[in-house]
Amino acid sequence: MNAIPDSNIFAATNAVAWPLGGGGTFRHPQASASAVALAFGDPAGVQASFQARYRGFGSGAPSAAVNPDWKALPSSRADPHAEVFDRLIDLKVSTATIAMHLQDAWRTGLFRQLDDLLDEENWHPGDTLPTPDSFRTFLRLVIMLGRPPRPGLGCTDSGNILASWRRTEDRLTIECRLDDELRWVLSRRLLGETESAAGICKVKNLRSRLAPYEPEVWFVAHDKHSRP
Amino acid sequence: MNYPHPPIVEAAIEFRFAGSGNQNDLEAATKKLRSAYPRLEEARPVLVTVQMANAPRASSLSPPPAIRKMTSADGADIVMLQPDSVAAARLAPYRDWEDLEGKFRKNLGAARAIVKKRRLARIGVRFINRIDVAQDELGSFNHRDYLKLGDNLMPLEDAPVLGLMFSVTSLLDRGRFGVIINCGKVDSPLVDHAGLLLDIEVFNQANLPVTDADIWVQVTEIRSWKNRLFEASITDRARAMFQ
Repeated sequence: MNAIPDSNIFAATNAVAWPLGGGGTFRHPQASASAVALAFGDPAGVQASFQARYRGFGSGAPSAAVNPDWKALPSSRADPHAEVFDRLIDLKVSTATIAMHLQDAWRTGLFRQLDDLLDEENWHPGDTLPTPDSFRTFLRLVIMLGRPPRPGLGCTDSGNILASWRRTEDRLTIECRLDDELRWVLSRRLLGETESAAGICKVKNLRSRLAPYEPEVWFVAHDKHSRP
Repeated sequence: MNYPHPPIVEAAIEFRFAGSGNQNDLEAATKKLRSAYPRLEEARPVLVTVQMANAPRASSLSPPPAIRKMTSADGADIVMLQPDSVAAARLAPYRDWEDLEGKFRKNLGAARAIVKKRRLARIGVRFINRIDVAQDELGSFNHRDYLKLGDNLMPLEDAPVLGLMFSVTSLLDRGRFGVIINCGKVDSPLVDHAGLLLDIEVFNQANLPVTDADIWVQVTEIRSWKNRLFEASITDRARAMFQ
């Protein structure tokens, strides 16, 4: 008889792992906070703990890159590029947060681009690698845009992801910053004249900011494989 | 039911074994799995005990063992190792049960330093789902459109629920299996959406099967219970979102 419920399987993502069964042993390193909140009947605390724990996953990087509970052990490849390799995997793990909303071909193509971006030959010790926070903003941007063709990818010196779309003379580059902030720069040929513009906005406001420039030229897929 | 776009963010199978192994066992298993799961991380749980002045002295507790997480090169498959447990987890996109079970069986073979001839102490299957739901301009939505929860029985007005957390720990099949269900509102990675988390674990930690064949039959049975619970927890509207 399974009379005493034990603790959950340890979630790889830290999504949720409460020791909710009475008498269960705490196997999760973060378990104590929510357990205390439960014991003292603090529903707000429990809800906050629930959110906080899930955010650890929702940020797209449950790994040592952003989660202090996990410590990266030396890579199997004991070389100076180990950090680059680990970051590449971290960003792919982040993609899992939205992978259910992507077509497989789009995800595979994105991974190929990440492989190129984080090609070990292009990075030197001390370089700032693309950050998980910036990549999270990028993923939210991609889903918010609905079905954009896959953009070109780059990275700023500060580790922010750059996404760029180009259609003949029309160009759009977006820097993905922390907390959904975007910095965008565009050049667009309209009614025989070339216009340039730049701005900073949140992901949710990007469409309205770009509306005067008819952004469909960048965001409407031109082939079936580029749709997410 | 197999959905083309399941909301699964993590699916896991875990075996725990009676009698803990040691650090050497963990190292040996890690080494065997390293080529398939090159990203290696470790968490060391901290054990805190409080001794009350007047209480009888508790027996000393050993600190919880380290937990190792190993991730595949594409970031989608994960192995969790402890001196007394082996787990396989699959993040999104979830393929199918056969893929998950196949990888788990392979991991068990590679982690035989931990498995050895130990008796099984627990079988668990856990699926964590996140249903991303559009919110209106006020940031609200009706979770009852997607989930069937006990709050339907409560004398609440039919108004948006701002916070949601729901948990059930119970038994199935006249006590043969245990179940832990956690459900709650969480952030969604999608703009202007909320996430409804539905986390279901079915396990057995009593009267476990002994033979290999019986063990895998029971794993399938546990999976079947997990599916029944999931289907019973969601509405047709939610179901339509996964098609």
